[in-house]
Amino acid sequence: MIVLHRFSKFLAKFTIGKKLLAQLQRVWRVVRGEVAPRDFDDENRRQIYAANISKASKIAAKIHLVHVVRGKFVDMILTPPAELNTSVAGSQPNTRQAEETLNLGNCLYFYAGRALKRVGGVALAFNASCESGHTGDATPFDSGGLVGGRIQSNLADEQAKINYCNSCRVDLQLWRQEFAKYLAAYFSQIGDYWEGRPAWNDAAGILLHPENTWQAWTYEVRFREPQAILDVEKWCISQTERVLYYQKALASVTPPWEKALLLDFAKKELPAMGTRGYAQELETWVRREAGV
Amino acid sequence: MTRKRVPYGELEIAGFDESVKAICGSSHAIVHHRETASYFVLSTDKVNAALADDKSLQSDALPAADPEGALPYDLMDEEEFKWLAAESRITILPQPLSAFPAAIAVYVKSELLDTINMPLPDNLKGEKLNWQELSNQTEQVWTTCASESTVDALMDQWGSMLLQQANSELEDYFSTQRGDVLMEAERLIQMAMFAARSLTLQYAVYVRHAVVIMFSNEQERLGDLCELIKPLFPYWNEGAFLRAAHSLAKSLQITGDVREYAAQVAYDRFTEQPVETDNFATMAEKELQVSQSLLTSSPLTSYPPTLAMSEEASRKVLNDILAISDIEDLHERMRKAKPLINACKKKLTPDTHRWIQQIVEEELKKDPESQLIPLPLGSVAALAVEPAIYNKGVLRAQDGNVKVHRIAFSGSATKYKENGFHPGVLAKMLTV
Repeated sequence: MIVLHRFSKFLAKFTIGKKLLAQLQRVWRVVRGEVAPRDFDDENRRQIYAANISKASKIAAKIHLVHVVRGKFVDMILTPPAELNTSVAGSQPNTRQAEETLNLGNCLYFYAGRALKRVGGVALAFNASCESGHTGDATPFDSGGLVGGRIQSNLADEQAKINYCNSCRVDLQLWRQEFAKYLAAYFSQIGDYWEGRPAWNDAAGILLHPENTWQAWTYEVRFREPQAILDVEKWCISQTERVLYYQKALASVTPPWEKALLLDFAKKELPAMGTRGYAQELETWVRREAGV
Repeated sequence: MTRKRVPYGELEIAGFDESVKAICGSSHAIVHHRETASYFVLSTDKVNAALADDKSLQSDALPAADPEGALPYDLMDEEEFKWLAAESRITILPQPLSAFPAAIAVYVKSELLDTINMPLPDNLKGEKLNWQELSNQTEQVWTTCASESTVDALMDQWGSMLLQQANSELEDYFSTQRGDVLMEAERLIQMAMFAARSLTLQYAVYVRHAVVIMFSNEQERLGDLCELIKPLFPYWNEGAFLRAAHSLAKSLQITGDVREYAAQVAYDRFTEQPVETDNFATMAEKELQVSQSLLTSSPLTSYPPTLAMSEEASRKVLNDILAISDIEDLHERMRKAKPLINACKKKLTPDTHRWIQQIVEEELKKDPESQLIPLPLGSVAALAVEPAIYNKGVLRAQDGNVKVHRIAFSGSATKYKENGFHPGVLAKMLTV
């Protein structure tokens, strides 16, 4: 850094050097995602991007990956190796079909920062460290929703959807940088990712389509390997599942190692008020942690 | 299906997003939109509220004529809906129900209803409840849909009844010391865990579970219990929780006849004249009603937990008082009860400790060496839940004589004056 600083001071002494320095700085800002994409034709949007990108980068770096468990949670924890599995034969038919169509392989799915409940009794939030050692990718929408028809677009046919999805796929190692740019580029206020909807459209006409809901603009992150449940940072649970968990952990017949595991894991539970909106409580926590 | 609100007339409740895993439970309803053959969870949470406030939605999509429509937020198709049901992740209703705003589904097994000897209610809080039996279950399970507040009230009702039965079992256990009775109490408490919706009731349930564990052979589970339930209670205080459990255990060990005497003498002192037992019972009944209404509307029903416990135990004591005699001549008893009811209204404030403190202070001003401080009946109930009283072995009746003696503090009256009143040092409220 010192060498670079001295070199830039040296360049600044000459007119041509100043120009070269300005170009280098611009390239650096582009690389860092601090410059609005060239397809922004709206000066207002450029200004909003410039104002949001710094905060968006901080949020993207911290945002948790959220997964809602469908199934017997206590059994999942107590059955070695206690992992969230990728889709397998017997998984939801729509999911398997979408994976085949998009050639995604068998994946484990997360939403970036969103814990919206469909069905399932437990919501889990993993921090960024869980990504190490994984391969996978991400898209700024629910991939299954796009090919399955739940997300509307101006894409003419399935092949067009496959092509668009492929063009949007970001490697797991890079998705947080891309997520930051996405938040800054498409949301006039970053909080609209959670509470509202995008302010600008994308090439496929997905983001502003009036029939689309949150799945159309929520980042879907996919792992190609199972994820250890015990590495979760925070989790919360419905009342029924919680009582089942409690009773298992305190039952006389539960083996000591299982009790110890359940008690230890319970320390990561998000204090909740027993509402039916437990997933929303986790989402609120995720947002707070990310500084949204 | 669009993001437009769908009028409830176009929707029907097809199921709920939970499988039957417990003795009872509740969950969001899943509605079916026939026109588009799609399903979505009928959410009552803030997410939908936030979306409804979305300006773009309101301006271009929200039909002004359908302000009561449901907002589809997450859609499932027929295939997914049936797959989730086959995987036991959601439950399908045998007969679809008419959809209405913020519908919540509730289910209950017959085992619970048999246990509390209660039929399925036809209506509650002005809402008609159309029960139907779920098919494909190993046990008889009933379900219906209602508003969230009605479902919560119904489940709390079940939880309260289970709790009362658990209390009786615990009382039996303390008199018989039979292990099977303690196990039955635990079974009832575990059922109540699924039913209790309000935090106060949940707290009372876990206090009773703590009592069961205290008297089991695995007392080390008590620490685990505290670890597991503290995320449930925002103002968790482990010391207060354990004190409440000890207090409850001791109050349940006091037999009904002792409570009868204690209450009768307290009433006697309050009215400054002896009363007949049946009159006393009437007074107690009235006080119970007043107390319960006051308690229901007071902070005693909420946190901190110690007060929630006081409410439960207080009700318990008052219920036992009520049960001591037959009731006759209602109008006459009402007339006689009036002074007590008025006194209770004035005196049985949320902060009963402060009230008692005031009485004591006034008495001590009159006579610093006073050995007899008369207290109203309500205070007996309130004080009856104070652990320190039981720790000092009060509420003991011998030879049919119970007298209200002076309130002794941790030291002397002088020390009390120096240090001020503290409920934790109350002792010897009632001694023989």
